[in-house]
Amino acid sequence: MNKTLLVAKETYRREVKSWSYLAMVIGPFIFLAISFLVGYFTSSSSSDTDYVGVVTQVKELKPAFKDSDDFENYASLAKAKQALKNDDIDGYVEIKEDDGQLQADYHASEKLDDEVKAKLLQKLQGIQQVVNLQQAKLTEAQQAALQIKPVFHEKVIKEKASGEVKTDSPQYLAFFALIIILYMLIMTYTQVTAQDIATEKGTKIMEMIFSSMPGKTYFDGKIIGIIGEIITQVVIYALGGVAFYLAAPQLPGIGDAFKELKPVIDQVLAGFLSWSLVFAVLGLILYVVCAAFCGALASKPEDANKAVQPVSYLAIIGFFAAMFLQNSPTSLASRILSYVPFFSSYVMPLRVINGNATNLEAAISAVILLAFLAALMILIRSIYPNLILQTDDRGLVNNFKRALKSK
Amino acid sequence: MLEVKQLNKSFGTQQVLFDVNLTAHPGRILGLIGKNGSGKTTLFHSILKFVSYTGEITIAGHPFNEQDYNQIGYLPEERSLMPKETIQQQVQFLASLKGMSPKAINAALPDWMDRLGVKGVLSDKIKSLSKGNQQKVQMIATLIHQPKLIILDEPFSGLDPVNVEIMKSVILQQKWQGATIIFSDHDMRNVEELCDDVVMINDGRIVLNGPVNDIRQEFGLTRLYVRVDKSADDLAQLPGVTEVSQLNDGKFKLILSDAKFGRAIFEQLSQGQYLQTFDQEPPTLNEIFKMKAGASHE
Repeated sequence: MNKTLLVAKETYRREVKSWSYLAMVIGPFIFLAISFLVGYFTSSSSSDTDYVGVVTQVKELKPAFKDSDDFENYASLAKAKQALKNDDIDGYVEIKEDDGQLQADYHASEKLDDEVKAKLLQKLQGIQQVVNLQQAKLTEAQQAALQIKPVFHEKVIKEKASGEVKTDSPQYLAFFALIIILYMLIMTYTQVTAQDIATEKGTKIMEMIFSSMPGKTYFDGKIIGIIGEIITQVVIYALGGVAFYLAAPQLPGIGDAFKELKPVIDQVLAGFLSWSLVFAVLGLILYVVCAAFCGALASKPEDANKAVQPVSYLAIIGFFAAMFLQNSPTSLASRILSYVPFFSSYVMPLRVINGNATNLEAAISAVILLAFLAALMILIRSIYPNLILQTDDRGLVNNFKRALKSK
Repeated sequence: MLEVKQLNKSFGTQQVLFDVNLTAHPGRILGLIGKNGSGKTTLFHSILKFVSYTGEITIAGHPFNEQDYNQIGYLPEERSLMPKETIQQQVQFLASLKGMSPKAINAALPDWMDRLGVKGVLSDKIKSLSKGNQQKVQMIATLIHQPKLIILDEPFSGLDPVNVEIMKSVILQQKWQGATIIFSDHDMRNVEELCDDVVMINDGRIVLNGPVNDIRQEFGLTRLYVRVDKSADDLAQLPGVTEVSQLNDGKFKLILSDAKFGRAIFEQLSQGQYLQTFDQEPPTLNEIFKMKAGASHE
């Protein structure tokens, strides 16, 4: 096997089999599963407490409470009282009709839940309406006249290209989702990368490795291995997402909400295949390469976090710049940052989504980012072996200067 | 064969190697000696292209190229293995970088474990091994691919005498198989015992270079070891004696200003009688080293 791939495979194997990686990847699934189960049991238990028995001799009322999640008809007052005593219900409501007027009396040890109360009143009002109409003895024309409802039409005027951000558009949601994922991956993998390289440097195994292959080639393999780790995590999340996407309509409690949101979710997913994805991938590689460089600057493994801080700050600045500039994509700051590597991954997709940047402008920014990444790779590859082989603690800046001199 | 010609190396404005020339031959061991910080490791790093330099370094007649990586075995000065890896994982990775197939590594590894007497099994983690065993595992990773050029930076440091002997025997096996071997050590007895050639480097400059015996002979038979019933003061009065010391075994060591005084001293001490010990030798490598490197050497 090619030595670059051997290093990539070893880097990947060492990290992926570690407990920290497993915890990082599986953690969100466990968190979501716990959240779902807690929500499910909470809603189940809360529906139990809001269960109300209905006792009425009014024939028109019984069908209204049949097949309801909150109410159950009882044939007699005695049966309802027994059910309350057995804790099968939280209370019962006795409904009577007195001279065309419905009268409901609720009996329970605690106050009726507001939501259930609203449902009960809504049902009673609907039936009272029917009773009122029957008692009014209206003609068909009069009844029809009373059925007339107001008409509401919604007409959205197409926004101009340079207009304000439609923060609820699927493209925007896709962009927003991508930069959050990008930000989280950057913050995670810059730390992982710097730590991995600083730890390796601390063991001084690099001298043996560099006696087997050029340091530049080793650096390439290292970056490929780390990208492999990221891809694995993204693929696992994607599979989890697909599983959720397929299972969600059948899940109790969220199935209905998911069905309602599905068209938007579909559009958001389609929105991922855009310039945002190109900038996210290039940006992530850029940050990982810089983190590898910072890890190589550290003299001891415990210095890795300190060494990678400048890269973390750049990621934080880029992320918050995108957040602040989302409502002013036409500003000068947006225009400038959309061409500056480290920030363009966040800002240029925002401008494209708002129609503020053309595909050509996005392509130019992507080329600048790619060229910057390539130049940085060439520079870091050339000094990487010297940085790694320096094990005396001279400070980050002096280590960098010395590596440049040793080229 | 390894040839180093007119090698100069600087870090910034500080020059650390000056016009270094040396040759290491197949089937011979070259010892590189020098004080701490004299430039030995930098010389190794230059040979391995870890650092840039001016001058010329050739391996088998050509400048170092990527194909040469698989023919080199390098043992760094400091122990350098990944503590969380197992012996098998560590050697597998390092040997695969030398072009060995997993099958070949698995076939050779148990034999190397036996040869070096590593206490442990292949699934043991590096961190669970003693320092000596870690060093042996590192030696396995250095030699398992049967390199033609072997560079060992202080291979015996931290090892007990038994393990030193094991390592020496393995190094000698490689020599007999035709490998070109360079190693550095501070213990001149090891160098004297193992090396065919020696290069001494002092403050970045080569001060001695040649076969060990030739170098010693160049300094003449100026060390005299005698066992006689006389005092050190009496011996100091003998012709040509500049220094007298008594060794732990009771013998006296006399340093002569010239080897030619040996005969006169023999005649004076023996006077036709039996003399239990009379041994005239050149200075040891350790003495030569001290002379050249200065008294500051530890």
